Amino acid sequence: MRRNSLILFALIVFAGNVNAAFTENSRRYLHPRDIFNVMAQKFPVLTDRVKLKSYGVDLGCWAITAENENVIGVVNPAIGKAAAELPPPGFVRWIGSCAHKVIAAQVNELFAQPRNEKLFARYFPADILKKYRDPVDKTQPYDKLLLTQWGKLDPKEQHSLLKFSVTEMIGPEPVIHDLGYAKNMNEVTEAISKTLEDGLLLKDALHNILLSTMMREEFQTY
Amino acid sequence: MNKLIVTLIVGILISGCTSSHEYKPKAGDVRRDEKPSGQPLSAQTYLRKLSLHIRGMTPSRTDYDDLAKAVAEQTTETFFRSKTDEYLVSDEHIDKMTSRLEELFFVRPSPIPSKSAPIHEASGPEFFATLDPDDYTIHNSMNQLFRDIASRNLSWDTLLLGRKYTAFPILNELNKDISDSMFLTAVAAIPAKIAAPTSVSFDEDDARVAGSLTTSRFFARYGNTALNKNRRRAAAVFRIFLCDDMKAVAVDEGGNQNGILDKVFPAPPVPGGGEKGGTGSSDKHGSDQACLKCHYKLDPMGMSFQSSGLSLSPFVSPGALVYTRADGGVVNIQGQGIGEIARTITRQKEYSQCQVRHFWDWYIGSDIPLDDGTLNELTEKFEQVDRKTNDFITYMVNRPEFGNFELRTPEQQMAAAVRTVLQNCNGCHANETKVKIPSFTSWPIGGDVSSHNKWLGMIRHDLALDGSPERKMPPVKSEWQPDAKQLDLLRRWFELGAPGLASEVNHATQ
Repeated sequence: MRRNSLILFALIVFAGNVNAAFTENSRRYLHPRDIFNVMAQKFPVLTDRVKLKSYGVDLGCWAITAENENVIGVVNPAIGKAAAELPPPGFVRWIGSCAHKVIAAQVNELFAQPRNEKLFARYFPADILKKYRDPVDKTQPYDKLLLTQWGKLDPKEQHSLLKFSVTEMIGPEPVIHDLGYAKNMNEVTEAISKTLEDGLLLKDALHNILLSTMMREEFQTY
Repeated sequence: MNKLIVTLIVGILISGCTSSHEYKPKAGDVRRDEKPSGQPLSAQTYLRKLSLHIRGMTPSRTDYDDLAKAVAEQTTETFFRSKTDEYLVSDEHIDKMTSRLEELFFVRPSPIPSKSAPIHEASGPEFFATLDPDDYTIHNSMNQLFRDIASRNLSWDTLLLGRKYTAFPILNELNKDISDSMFLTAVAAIPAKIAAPTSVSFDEDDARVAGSLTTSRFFARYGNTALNKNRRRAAAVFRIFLCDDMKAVAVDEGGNQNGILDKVFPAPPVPGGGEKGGTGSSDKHGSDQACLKCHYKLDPMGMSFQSSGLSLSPFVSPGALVYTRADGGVVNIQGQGIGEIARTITRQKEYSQCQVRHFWDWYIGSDIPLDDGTLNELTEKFEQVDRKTNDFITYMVNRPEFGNFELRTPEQQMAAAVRTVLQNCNGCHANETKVKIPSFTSWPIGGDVSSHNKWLGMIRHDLALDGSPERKMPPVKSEWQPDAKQLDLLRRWFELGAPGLASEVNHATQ
């Protein structure tokens, strides 16, 4: 429950950043199909429909449906425009809810594939993987990593994971600067780190980090 | 405690007037709107923009690493050339371009990001057995044409001049009307029921066919009736290929609704004639002077579709391409069938300029004004590359407007800043159900100049920027209240005559 409160807190903090218009203007929001493409790019579990069903990820989180088409900005073929000119409150609910489910599914995949070096390398920087690789049980190299507490990582490692995640999800430092919603990478990583408590398990910390980046304007815009 | 948190969160999320979305700058911050206009993006940001605009995905970590090497070796130009080429042959680019064309043609998009491989002509029923039912909607000649244009770098004219189609088996209700198998039966030697995708080609000079226009998906989308006489199809052709959206003229009958209905549904002729039955004209609507503004264009083109009803006819219908140019000159060119008319369209300057505008909207942005000089430059380049789709995209993503922070005149910068303020109003108004309030950030407000000026007057008055004693908007209870700096910006903007609209109107009415 506490974790859920933190997640919801993150949603509030970063949901306030969703402003401006759906239609093309200086803050152009991603086209709905690009949202799905980028999500599938970051979370490969989205390309496996069988797994998505088993993890309870709704169709509306990876496909255009009658329920989501208006809130995500799908162009109405009757009039050639999206139903909303700007992201309605429903968009925040949609992306928050879907991000939560998709990330949970992907983290479950990490648990299901503790030997998948490539998969772990998508979410953890090399320094952390090297340090937390099980030296004895080569068959379960990252079994314990996800269950390590956030507070057990030293500040350098915490920063490394935060920076790695933001870079993977949005882009490197020059991109953060140019997009202009934050001055620099540190501003973003500091904001996210405030949502992470020492007692959080790394699997939950990772969840919060990824969720926080997805709720940022930089992730949702061109 | 948790119940309180949840209640608080829900309250905020469902509120149409959430806390101010305005960025509150800290000392030393540079606001996004204040980024130096015309300055180049960093190499990393340009790469991200390139990747997102061409294929709808961000660059991979390897892409960024390779870029870092190229920067170190000062070979970024070669890197970006190579990356552009790589992105333009990706499946994701084909999907994205197909999606853009679906939107342009006003057809329902495929519900899922398509991961389909190119169609294999030899595939049989077993191929379709592996498909998700949602994939069926993409298997039709129109979508195949869209994909070919992007995947094979074909001339953009193929949308009108294409002669190769693929008829797909009818498998379910989703693809029944758009599979092209029954659509092409009368003109091609294929049975009505086929078991596998079947290629159909026509001669270059076949006047019966015209690329995307003579596909079952186009016909299904723009259905015809005896009353409509293919005008809906003709209107689509004008909108897509000549950027003429022919807003409907409201016929003023002085409140006589029956007069309007008479035009739409004329009285049937009385046997033997006579006054009471009227002339029995079946086209009073089309001959009304006000209606003629559109009909003189729609009717001749509609005639070229006449012989084809639900499926493509083996016979041609003569028609004409008729419209008035911006300089007042009249285009009036006859054609033996829609195929000839389509070819005629591709030879018009208005066609080239219109297609170039689509690319501008997709790669630069419909909110960035396109002046005449740049339009001419783009059109010239469009011709130079033989109108080849990917070659033109390569040109567009190398233009300064794509690779720089948005180029803006001081007037546009001010208008952009004003819009940033006005979008706070949209946040509340979007939930208003009693009164229809247009978006204040989509210019002209309300759709035309007259409406725009009316609304600006109301905004100025309600914000007490015209000397009114009391500010009416936003309501006192609203969470967002404009600060002194924003009010000063708006005041100055109004005093300067609310600049920034002209370029929007030019763009909107092209």
